[in-house]
Amino acid sequence: MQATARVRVEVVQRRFAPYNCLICQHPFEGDHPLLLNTKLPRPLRIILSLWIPVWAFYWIWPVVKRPDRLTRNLALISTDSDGRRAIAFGENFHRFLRFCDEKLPPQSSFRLVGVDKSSIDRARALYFLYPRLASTEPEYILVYGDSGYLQPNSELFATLSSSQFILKSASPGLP
Amino acid sequence: MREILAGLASLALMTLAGCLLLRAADRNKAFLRWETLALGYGISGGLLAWGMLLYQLAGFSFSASRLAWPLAVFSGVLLIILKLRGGLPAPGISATDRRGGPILRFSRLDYFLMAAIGLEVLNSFFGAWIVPMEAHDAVANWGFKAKAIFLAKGIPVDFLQNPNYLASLPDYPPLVPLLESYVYFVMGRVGDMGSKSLFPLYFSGSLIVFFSCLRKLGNNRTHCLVFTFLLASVPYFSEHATNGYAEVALTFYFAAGSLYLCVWQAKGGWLLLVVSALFTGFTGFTKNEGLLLCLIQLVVLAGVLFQRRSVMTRRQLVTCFATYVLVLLVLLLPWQVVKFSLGLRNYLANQETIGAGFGWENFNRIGTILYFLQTQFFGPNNWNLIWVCLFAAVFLRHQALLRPPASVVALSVMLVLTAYLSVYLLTPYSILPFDLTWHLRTSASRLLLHVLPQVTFLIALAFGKVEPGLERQSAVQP
Repeated sequence: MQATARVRVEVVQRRFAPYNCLICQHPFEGDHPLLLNTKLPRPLRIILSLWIPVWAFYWIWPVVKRPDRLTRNLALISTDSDGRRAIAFGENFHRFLRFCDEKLPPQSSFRLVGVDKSSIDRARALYFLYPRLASTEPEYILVYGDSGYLQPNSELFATLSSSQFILKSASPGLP
Repeated sequence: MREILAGLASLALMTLAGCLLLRAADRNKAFLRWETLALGYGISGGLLAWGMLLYQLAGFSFSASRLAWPLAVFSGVLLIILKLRGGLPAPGISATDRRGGPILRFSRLDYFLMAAIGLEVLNSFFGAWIVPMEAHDAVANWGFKAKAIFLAKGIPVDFLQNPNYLASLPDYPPLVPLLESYVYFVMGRVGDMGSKSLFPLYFSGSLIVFFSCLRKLGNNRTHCLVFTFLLASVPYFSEHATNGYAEVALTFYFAAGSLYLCVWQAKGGWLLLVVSALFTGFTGFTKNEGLLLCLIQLVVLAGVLFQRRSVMTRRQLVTCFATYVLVLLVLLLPWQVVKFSLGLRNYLANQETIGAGFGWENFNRIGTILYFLQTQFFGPNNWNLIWVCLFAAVFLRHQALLRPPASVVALSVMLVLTAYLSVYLLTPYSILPFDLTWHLRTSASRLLLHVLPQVTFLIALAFGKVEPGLERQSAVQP
């Protein structure tokens, strides 16, 4: 009976004794060499000791895995807003959008060919070219990456390259 | 650089008005200095967007002077009122010296945690500023509408009704686009870097509100810092602080609405209840999901009032509930009126898709949904170990979570998760090529983000430690 009571007392004493560092088992008294120098409750120490390595890993790992990201970020810092957009949208697609922006009248309508309807490029193009409106009966057809594209009742309006050009529809009402 | 500074200056003007408003209302010094700043930013952002909508309804067009001058005049009037009342009140005292003892020195762990939180905040600003508006919803929805509002000098009705722009979700509430356009108006042009400052500020605000609410419930400062660090270092949260999506704004507003309701339950005070109502209202003014969150908040409030029926009179109970509902109605009605008068509807969730009915075979989707959820549960690249910690809290400390004030947040989280998951069971997916997998992949993790601060709060209440003398207790007065 007494032995059981003594064991219980020891367990209680151990529980409420000053905490030791989870890493080096040094007591948290005085000047502890590591950061976890506090009487944190055990659950918090466990959470932090698991959390911090994962956190640090996902800071370091992307840089190690893809060092080009760092280069990209440095390029983003050192350029102007147009250059940033070129890096983010892709050099080629951004050049095409700028070309369309220069050639199309501000209040015109257009249709984009060669860009998937649900792709992010289409969303970026609509955003970039606004206030020009996308339409199913467009005045202009913007062709990107489709050199063989032909549209009846339309003529070549402007050319950036053999696969990137703008057609002007002679009868915008026709699909 | 000039663009960033101009954007920050426009937001500073807005925040100043919010902070002064809060100072004028906060006679009992319920809010700390940083907390006033975060709440001032949130309140002024929401009220400014709401005011812009009323401007539009009154037939005025937007311009820099029409938006900035009222803010400046409003701030000036509040400043004079505060001076006349006897000088600017000092910000609230911290919970440390409230006990009458000396202010505790920061430990090494405190410094480490503050540095880590600061690193995450700086990273969010850095990420927002160097990358232009390029993420899908940022350009297809929020940024697009902001550009359209700026160019039209008002909410462009023809743009919202254009069938070629249904993917821009014209029926979505316009808080974020209106705020982005406000920055453009003050800057005088469309500038991504200026408007993207909004999002890391919402991120920082969420952290401050989270820390302050934990502190208000009497938690040890170091413990509060630990859990604020956990919240700040969830990769998916910090990523959304940079990409121009409205999720971080919704998370901020819903977290503030929910956590201040929890603090009100524990401490009482009309200001906390009104702040909770305001932020919940802004949740419904940020995204359509916010409307569902508003309803859930009302259910939670009803639960809190029911629990407090023995310590409050019937009149007080009715007044609390009516005040909350009134604030929500005032904030949400204008956009709903505009939406229905223009016939704006969602191309995914509308009468046809909802009317397609529910079939029992929809329960076959549970396997796919659970599979997706386990990818999030064991997805440290997005969530670190937050869901594992929640799981541990529920299993090891469920008794603490079932007691007030944790039960208020727990009920809210439970209702939100149930409501969101039932959306995946009910949606008929009649529009091809949209299917359950696509829906889960594109939206589910973002929906989980809406309750992230509350989930971290629950973990904190389960594992954190209350300082002696500041024990959590239910307030007797409203």
